[in-house]
Amino acid sequence: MNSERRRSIPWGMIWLTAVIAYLLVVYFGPIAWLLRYALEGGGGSLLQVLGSSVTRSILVNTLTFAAAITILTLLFSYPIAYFAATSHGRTRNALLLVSTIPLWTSLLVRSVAWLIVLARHGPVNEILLALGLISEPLNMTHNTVGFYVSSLYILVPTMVLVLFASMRGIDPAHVKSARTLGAHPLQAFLNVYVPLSIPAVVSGCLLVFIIALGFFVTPSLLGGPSDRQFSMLIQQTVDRFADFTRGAALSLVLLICSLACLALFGWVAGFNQFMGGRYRGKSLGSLQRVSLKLRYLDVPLRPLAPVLESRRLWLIVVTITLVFMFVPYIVIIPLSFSDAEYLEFPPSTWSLRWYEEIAGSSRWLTAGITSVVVGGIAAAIAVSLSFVGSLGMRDAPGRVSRVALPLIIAPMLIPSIIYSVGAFMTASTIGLSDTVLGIALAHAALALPVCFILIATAVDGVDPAIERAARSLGASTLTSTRRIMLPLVRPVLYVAALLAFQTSFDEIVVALFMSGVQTRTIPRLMWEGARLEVNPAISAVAVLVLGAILILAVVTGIVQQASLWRRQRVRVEESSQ
Amino acid sequence: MTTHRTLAAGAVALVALGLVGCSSSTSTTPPAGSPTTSKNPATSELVFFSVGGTFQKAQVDGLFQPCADKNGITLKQDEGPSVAKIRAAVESGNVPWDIIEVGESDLPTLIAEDLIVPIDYSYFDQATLDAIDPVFRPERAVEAVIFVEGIGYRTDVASHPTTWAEFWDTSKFPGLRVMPSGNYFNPTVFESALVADGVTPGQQYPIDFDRAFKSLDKIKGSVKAWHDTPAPGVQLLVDGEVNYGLLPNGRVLQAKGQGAKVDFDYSQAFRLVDYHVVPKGAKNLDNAMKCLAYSMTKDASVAFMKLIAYGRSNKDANKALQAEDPAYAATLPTSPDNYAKTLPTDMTWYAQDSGNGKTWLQVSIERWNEWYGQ
Repeated sequence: MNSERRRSIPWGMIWLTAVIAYLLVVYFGPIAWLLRYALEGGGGSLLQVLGSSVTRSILVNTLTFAAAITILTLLFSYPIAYFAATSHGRTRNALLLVSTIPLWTSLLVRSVAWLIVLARHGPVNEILLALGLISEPLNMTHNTVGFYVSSLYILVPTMVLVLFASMRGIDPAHVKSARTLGAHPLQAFLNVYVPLSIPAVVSGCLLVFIIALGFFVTPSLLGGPSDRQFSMLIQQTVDRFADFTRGAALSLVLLICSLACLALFGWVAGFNQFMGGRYRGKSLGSLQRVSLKLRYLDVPLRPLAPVLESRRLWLIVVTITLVFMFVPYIVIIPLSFSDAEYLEFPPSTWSLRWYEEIAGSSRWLTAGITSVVVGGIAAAIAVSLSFVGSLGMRDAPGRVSRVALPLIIAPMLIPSIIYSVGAFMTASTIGLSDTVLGIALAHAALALPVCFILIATAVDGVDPAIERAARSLGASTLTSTRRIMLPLVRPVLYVAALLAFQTSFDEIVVALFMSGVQTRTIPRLMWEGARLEVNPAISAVAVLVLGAILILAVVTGIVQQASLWRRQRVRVEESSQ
Repeated sequence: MTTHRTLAAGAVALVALGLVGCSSSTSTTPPAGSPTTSKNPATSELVFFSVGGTFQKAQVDGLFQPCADKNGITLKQDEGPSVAKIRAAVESGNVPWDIIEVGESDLPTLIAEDLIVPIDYSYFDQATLDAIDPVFRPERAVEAVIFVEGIGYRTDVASHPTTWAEFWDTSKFPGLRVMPSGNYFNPTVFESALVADGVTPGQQYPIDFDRAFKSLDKIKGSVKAWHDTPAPGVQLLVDGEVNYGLLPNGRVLQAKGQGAKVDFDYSQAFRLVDYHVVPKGAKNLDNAMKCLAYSMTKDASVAFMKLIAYGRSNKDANKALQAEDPAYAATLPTSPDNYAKTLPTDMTWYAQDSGNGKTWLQVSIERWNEWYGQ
């Protein structure tokens, strides 16, 4: 046994090293390149950037927006996540499906949809006018109102998912025992449930804050002059003015802000929050203790308790939220069948002309092929790296995994505009910019965190005894991985592949910088459509993309079911023998 | 360069009046060689880089696609050109584009920094050269489009402003406006602000930025959005989000043609010319010259003007369009009636050094960004 162990190759460490190496080269390399660029000539450009009052005021704007929208998103998402976590079966699935459905539609399209919903002659104004609530249409686009509403819409699904993932683990018995001991329902909620959900709240807020910090598409389309975001400044500097040194310096400023937030998070909660919280940060407990102060709200809220505790009230709140999640689809789908040259809602005449135009357009078809190929390569890389990385992570000692995990999920936690600028500059130097491979490599890095979290959770869930049994019967590590582990987690691999593909298929920021003449992806064309030529074609493409993703999801579901069913049948056959 | 500009301004007048005049060209260019003799290596692609939208589509369909089809060239496109991008590409040695559309304000910089190559006029046929005034075919550029930026308005609103002073008068003409930002292709936002403030039309230079921003302060509250590219601006007018806008004529008239309740008033609109250039290091030089030569022909120009209401410099094309469809020709910025209402600009002024190593264009963008976020 001892001699065998000495001979065995440490596959886990090799695999984990491979994943980290990929990220070091493809992800951290470009960011380091950016730093070098920014600090060229002794950091003069960095000082120049920080000395500019325009830059500083946009930075303050960005931080304020990120903080405000994070709080709003939390308030909006908590009830849905709570309901989903405390309900079961179909209700839970329906809640989750509806509240996360926007994740399956391009960010770009969702933003354009809000542009129409909130327009001067859009549905919201028309309804308010018809109800006599207003006499003049409200001004809701190209200003802070439109920006906040659409941002909230875009961030809620992410928050709900993160909250739900960890609220699901809160044992209802805790609340029940508080009730048995005489606590009022409100009291039990504030004293027991809220403190237990603090880790979820912290992770959700961090993720949303970081996404908001790097917001680019939504403020560009819906914001007003006072809503300029830092990433817009970076994009403008690099793309319009091709001032790479200044662009790099600006990216560095945003990177420092993000890392500061991450450091704070790591200290408070620990990155394992994203993996179900195996280890905890030092200060999570004290934060929970602080949240216990919420119990003092119990007394002033007590008179309202009958209202607050009525399930009907919460059903109304949740229903409104869910309707909110559906609004853009009510616009996009009819709009795609419009006959007008310009966006008009509701369309006065109907036709399939935009579908015909897209089907007959070599630009869209070529972009479609490029997007599929890029997405396919990215998904293949992300899933295989995540799978082997998960095996490595499982076997790695705690100290190693504490270092490796933040590295692997970094692409999710650093605003993608920073990476995009770095990737663009690096890829241009080595001739990979504007190539399918270059974009696919970058997209794989961006898709890696989600794939990894999903697959690592599945790998962790496999009883190590099964593999140990196989190995004791003489299987090598590779054989047991291939014959035992791989089939067991295969259904999850399909889902991860779908998610990775969708991440790439929908990705706009890297594509904006890296795709050019030779490789235009679908989001890139849609972005140009939204910026340069606004017509219903964009909604037709959105419907087609949504359809394609839904079909893929259904196919994935079927394949997943089939592999589960096959496994069951094998088991049945084995047991009947 | 100012001489060049003055010439160009005069030449727009020539085109406008030349609708009826004869081609008294003073061409001194060498006799046209056969367009088929190619001194540059043959390649299969041509990459066109322009400002996008329906305008770029009209350029492709009218000016370049027929040439690409005839010669078996694959035409590819990119959108959103800037001097900075061209400089970065030329410096890196990897230039992805072959023909680039640039504004008149960019031309002096591109020439001074040697970022664009001379146009090989031996690709052009004599008839085309004779029909185009030499100021529209200088050494390193050919005219791409003659257009104006002026007042676009909703036709379902009682009345519309016809001067910039009226455009600024929000009590007489209430409602929101849309205007180009300081980062826009052409800095017409400053020109309009000065004329609105009482500067004699045509005498905006040198631009007094303090005065321009003070003037913009007065209208800021009524401007719904400041667009960086024309399409979103036109879209806001078409959607009825705004009543008036400072917009390019062609896109507004195109929307009108498609049934939108919008129209364009040529009064006090600013005359502008864009050019096509070939960057240094372009990979498909032969195709670029071939198709640029085609783009200047009568047929190409007529096809383009029919697709979008912008003018071209080819006098034969203007005559042909006038004969074919006089009503439509009258809607173009080069028609004599419209031309008489418009105002000249000097975009090359922006390319001059402001005194501290920065061009006025760079100064205008910096000052704009300071003003904009306030």
